[in-house]
Order: sequence, then C-alpha cells, then structure tokens
Amino acid sequence: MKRIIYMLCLLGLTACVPLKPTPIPTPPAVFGSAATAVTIEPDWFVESWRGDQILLKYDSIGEWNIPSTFGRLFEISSHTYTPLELNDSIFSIMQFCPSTQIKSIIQSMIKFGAMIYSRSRANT
Amino acid sequence: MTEIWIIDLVSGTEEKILTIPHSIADQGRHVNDIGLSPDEQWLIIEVGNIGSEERDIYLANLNSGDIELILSSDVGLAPQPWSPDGKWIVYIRDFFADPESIFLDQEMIIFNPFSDCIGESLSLPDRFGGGFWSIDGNTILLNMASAERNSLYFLNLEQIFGKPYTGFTCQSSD
Repeated sequence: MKRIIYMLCLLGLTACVPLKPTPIPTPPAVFGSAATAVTIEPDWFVESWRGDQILLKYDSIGEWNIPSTFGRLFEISSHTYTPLELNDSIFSIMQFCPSTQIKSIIQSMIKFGAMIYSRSRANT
Repeated sequence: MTEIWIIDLVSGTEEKILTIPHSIADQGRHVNDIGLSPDEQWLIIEVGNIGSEERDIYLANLNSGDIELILSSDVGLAPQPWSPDGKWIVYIRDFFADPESIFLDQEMIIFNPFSDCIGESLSLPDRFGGGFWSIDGNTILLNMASAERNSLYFLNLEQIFGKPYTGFTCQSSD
C-alpha cells in the first residue's frame, strides 16, 4: 500500500502537500502599524517575491522519507495567498535574474525561464 | 573552486559570470547565497563555514572579476538583498546584546556595500529570516518560521524609518 501511495506521490506531488489557509498572525508590536502579515504552511519557504506574486518553495522530508523540493507561484495580497500555477515542478533555484520584466521571468521560471546558480568543483 | 552561472532555460544557453577562487570558497567554506544587483554588474556573495555560524559577505565586480570582503562574522545575507536603485543591501546580524544571555539578538541592517557604511538598522523582536526587498523599494519581507507555521511580515520602510529608501544616507561604518 505504501508503495502505491509513494508512486502516486511521485506522479502528483501536489496532491501530497496540504496547502490550506492558516490564521493570520499579528505583527510584532515593535513594528507597529508598519507591517502586515501573512501566514503560510510549515515547510513552505519564500524563494522570491515580486509585486503581487511570490514564489514559494516546499522543502521537507515526506512521511515516507520522500525528499520534496519544488516551487509554486502564488498571487499574494495583503492577507491572503492563492496558487497561480498548479503544475509544480521539482527544482533547485538560487535566485531569479533581475529584469525589468520580472513577472514574465518569474512565470517562465515555473515553466522554466532564467535563473542564476552556483556550481562547485573539486580541487584539481 | 565555485563558479556562478546564469542559465536561460528557455533557450538553453548558459553563461559563466564569475569564478570564485579557492581562497574564498574551498573545502570547509561554501557559497550559501548570492544576490545579483539590479544592473547585473555586481554580485553579493555569502560564504559560510561548515560547522560554524560564521559567515562572510563579499562584493564581486562582474566586469573585472574582482571580489572584495565587505562583512564578516554573524551576518546573514538576505535572499533578495538589493534595493531597486542598487545602492543598498539588506542583511540580518546576530549578536548578544547581553553578554550574560544565552539568547541571540537580531537586527536588520541596510548597508551600502560600495561605501562600507550602514544607512539604517532595526532591532528585530524575534528570530527572523529572509529579507526580500520589493521591486518598488518600499517594503522588505521578513519571515519567521516555527514548527506550526511560517509567518511573513511586510515591513513598510517609510513608516519604520520615517523616510523612503531613496532618502537613506550613510550613518556609520560597520
């Protein structure tokens, strides 16, 4: 049974990851009215943010030790976020390239567009 | 050595933009994070030490390939560090305000990597990470993660510091 679920997860990783709205936190008092807040699920992390779009990365060890790292693009407003892209893709990204057409780059990133990354080599 | 590449995954073309020498990133030291400036002429690089919280931040000139150490010790480069005008970067500094305390304090620092000076700083009330400078420059996004949730805080810089980021000036050297 676990093997079947594992395969289903690999085929459709999205279905294995809960993504439900959670309570909105109250910004720390030290920020006063200068901050607004949004809550996202644990194991989701901000990868990049441009305007009303935010790229979140899911990074966790699954219940059956399935390493899961992929990104998903969201539209973000003052207190909520909603998925824009349903076809998540496994990826490892360090950063988007700056550009005047950031939105199109972010959107094409998911399908994939341009990125910057580092590559390490052993001593020779 | 470590190489920094830009890849266009639509066309499939790749371009190496920087080689980081062994003296900076070698065994035991690795590139944690990078930030390409808005004009794509400069690269901010955070290098960490395996088994240590110590981190160094370097500024690389992508035209000449020169790399200069600008910050050391308990500094964490923000993932999206550059202001839109390319004059400032944001990082988070860990420190012990009370030497007797076992709890680290944090502050968010707006830093000019070219003049080596601090423009603004803000004490943070808890364990924050992130640092995503908005494209209009008015907001920095910080996050605070816990086992239950990950909270994102959008800080309005003009309300926090009493002026827009374009009005920041060097206050002190780091």
